[in-house]
Amino acid sequence: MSRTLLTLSLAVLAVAGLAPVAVMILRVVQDPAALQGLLDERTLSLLGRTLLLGGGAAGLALLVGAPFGYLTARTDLPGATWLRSLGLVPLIMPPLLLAVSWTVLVPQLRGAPMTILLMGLSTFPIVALFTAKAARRVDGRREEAALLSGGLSGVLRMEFGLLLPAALSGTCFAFLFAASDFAVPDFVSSVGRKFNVYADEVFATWQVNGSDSRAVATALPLVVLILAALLPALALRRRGTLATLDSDFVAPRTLSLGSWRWPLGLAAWGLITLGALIPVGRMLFEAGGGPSGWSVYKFQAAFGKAIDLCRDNLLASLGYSILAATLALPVALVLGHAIARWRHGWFLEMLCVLPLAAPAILFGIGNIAVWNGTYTYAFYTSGGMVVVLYIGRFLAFPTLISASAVASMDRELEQAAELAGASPMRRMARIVAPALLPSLMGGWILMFVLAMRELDTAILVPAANDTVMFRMFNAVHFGRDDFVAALALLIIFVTIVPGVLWRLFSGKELEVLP
Amino acid sequence: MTNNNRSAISVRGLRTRLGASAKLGPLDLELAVGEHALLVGPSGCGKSSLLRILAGLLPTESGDISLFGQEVSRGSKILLPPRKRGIGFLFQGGALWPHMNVAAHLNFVLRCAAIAPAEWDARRAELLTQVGLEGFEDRRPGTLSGGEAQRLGLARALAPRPRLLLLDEPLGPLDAERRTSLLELFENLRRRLDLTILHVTHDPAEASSMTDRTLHMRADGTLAGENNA
Repeated sequence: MSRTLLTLSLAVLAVAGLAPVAVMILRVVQDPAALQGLLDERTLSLLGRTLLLGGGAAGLALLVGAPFGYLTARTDLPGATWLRSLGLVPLIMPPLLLAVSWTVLVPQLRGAPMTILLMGLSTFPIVALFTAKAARRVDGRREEAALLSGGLSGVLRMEFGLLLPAALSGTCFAFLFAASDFAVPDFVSSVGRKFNVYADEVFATWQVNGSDSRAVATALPLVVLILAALLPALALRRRGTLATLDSDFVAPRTLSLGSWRWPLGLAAWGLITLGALIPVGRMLFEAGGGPSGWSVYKFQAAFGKAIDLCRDNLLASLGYSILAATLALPVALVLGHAIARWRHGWFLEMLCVLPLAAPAILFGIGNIAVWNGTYTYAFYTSGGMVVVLYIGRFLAFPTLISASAVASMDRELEQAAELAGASPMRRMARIVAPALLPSLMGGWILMFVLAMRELDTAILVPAANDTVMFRMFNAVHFGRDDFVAALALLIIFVTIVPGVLWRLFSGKELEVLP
Repeated sequence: MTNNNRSAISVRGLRTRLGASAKLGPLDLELAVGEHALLVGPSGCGKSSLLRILAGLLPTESGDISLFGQEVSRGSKILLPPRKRGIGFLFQGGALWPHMNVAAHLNFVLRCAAIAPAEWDARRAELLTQVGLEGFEDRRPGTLSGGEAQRLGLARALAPRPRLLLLDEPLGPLDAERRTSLLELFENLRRRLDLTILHVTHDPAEASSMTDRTLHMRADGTLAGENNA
C-alpha cells in the first residue's frame, strides 16, 4: 500500500467525514448541561416513534425484500430479468417522490402507517440485493446435494441458514436509512395526523434554539440506535457475502418453481407495481394534466416548464453528484483496500462508517460548525461545500463495496505485480482497480444516486439550496401540479441514466453492495 | 549473514507462525547457484509459505535470509523488498491478471523492469518463444487452457530476467502429458538462462527425475532431510 495514497485518503476521510462528527461531540463535552432532559417523556416518546418507523420499515423490507431477492436471482420467475432491474427503481427514487405519489393516491392513510409503508417500499431493494448476492454465491454442488435429499424444500431449508446473515445485514441498512430519514415523515405529517420522529426533533431543536450542543444531545439516543443497527450490519455483511463462496466455486443452476411459478410471479410484479410502476405512473398521469384531463400537449408543456425553471438546479445537482462520486472513488478504493488487507482493518472500517451513524441532519449541523467560520466562509458558501458534504456523508458506501471486492480478490494477483517490480501506486492503478471495475463502478453509481437524492443534510447548507432535490422539497410544500410531477420524473430519469448506460455498454453486472 | 557467492539461497534459523496453530521452522536451507531443488512435504506443512518468505511476501519472526550473498531479511525485518530481490515466482493458480491479455501481461512487467519500450516487442517475442506461446499475444487468461496459463505465468516470471525462480506447485492442475512437457521446459530454461530453481510440490514423484536434489519437509514445518539425484 502506498503511504502517500493512504495518507491522502485518510486526510479526505478525516476532513469530510470525521471532522463534523468530532466537532459535534466536542460541543456536547463543552456543554454538559445540554444533556439534561435527554431521557424525558417527550424524548422517549420520539425514540419510540423512531424505533417504530425504523423497525417497521426494516421489518417490511425484510418480509418482502428477502423473498423478492431470492426469487428474482435464482428461480424461473416470469420476467425475472425485468424484475431485477425494476426492483432497483424504489431505491433509486428519492423517498420523498414516493411519498408525493402515494399520499395523493391514498390520502386517507397518513401518520405512522403511511410513513412505515413508504420507507419499507423505499428500502426493500436493499434487502433484496443483499439476499440475491448471497443466493448467487451458494455453490451449485451443495444445492444439488440438498435437492437430491429433500427437493426444492430441502434446498430452501439448506440455504436459509446461508442467506439469513446477508438478508439481516440488508435489513440493518434498511433500518439505518428509515430511522434517519427526515423528508418523508416531515412531508407525510404536513397534512392530517402528525408522526414526528427523531430527525424532525433534531432539526427543530437546532432551528429553535440555535444550539449545536442541544441538537447533538437530542440526537444521541438516535446515534445509539443507528450504531446498534450498523455494527451488526457490518458483521453480518462479512458472513453473508463471503461465507458462501468457495475457491472452486460451481455456479448454481436456475431453480424451477413448478406450480408456484405464476402465483409468486404475480406477487413479485405486484410489489414492483406498488414500489415503482404506480408512483411513476401517477407522476406521468399528473405531468400530463392529471384529473383535469391528460394530453400530450400538457405533458410536453409540464416538462418544458420543469426544464426551464429547474435547469440550473438539475445541472447543479448533476455537477455536485458526479464530482463527489468521482473524487470519492479513488479514496474509497485505497481505504477499502486497507480495510480488506490490514490485520486491523476493522478499526478503519469503524472510522469510515462513523459519519453514517450520525443522523443526516446532525451531520449537516456538524458541517456548518466546521466550515461556517471566518476563514472558511467563502468555501462554506460555495458549491465545493456540497461536494465535501456528499463525500463525507456517503464515502462509507463505495469504501465498503471496495473492501468487499478486494477481500474476494486473489491476493496473489497483487503479489505477482509486486514481484514484477510494480510500485504500490502502479499496482493499485493497473492491477487492483481494473480487476475490480464492476465494483468500483457500482460504488460510483451508488454514491451518485445517494447524492442526487440527498436532501436531509443539504437542506441545512446554503450552498445546497440550489440542488434539484431542495427545489423539489420546496415545490411539494407549496402545492402540487404538473410541474412537480414532471420535475420528479426528470430527477428519476437523470438518476437512473449512469446505471442504464453501464448495463447497455459494459455487459457486466454492477456490484452495488457494501 | 553469509557471503558465500556460490550460494543462491541461504536460510539460517528461520522460524515463524503461520496462522493460529501452524508454524514453520526452525529450519536452515542452502541452495547453490544453478541448482534445481525439489521441496516436498504434506499439505499444510508450510512449503508455499517458505517460498513466499523467500520472495519477501510474508514476514518471519526470526532467522536470516540471504539471496546470492546479499542479506534480504534479518529476524522480522525485511531488508530488501520483494520487487528488488530478482525473483521470478510461478504461483500455484497462475495469478494471472484477468483484465490483461498475454501481451499486456508481459508489457506490464517489462515496464516495471524499466526496459525501454523500443525493446518490448523483441523481448516479448523472445519470452513467448521460450515458453511456446507464439501467436497468443491477444488472448486473455480466461481463454487459455491450464497448461497455457502456466506457461504465461512462467513467461511473466522470466520477463525481468530473474536469477532465482520459485515454483509453487506449478503442475497441480495439469494432466500427465502437459506435466512432462512443462517440466522439460523448466529444465531447458534453467540450463539456457542459468537459473536457480526451487520447486515446491506435495508429490515426490512429480519432478524428482529432473532435479538435482529433493528436500523433505515434515508436517511440523521443519526439514527432515534430502536426497541427491
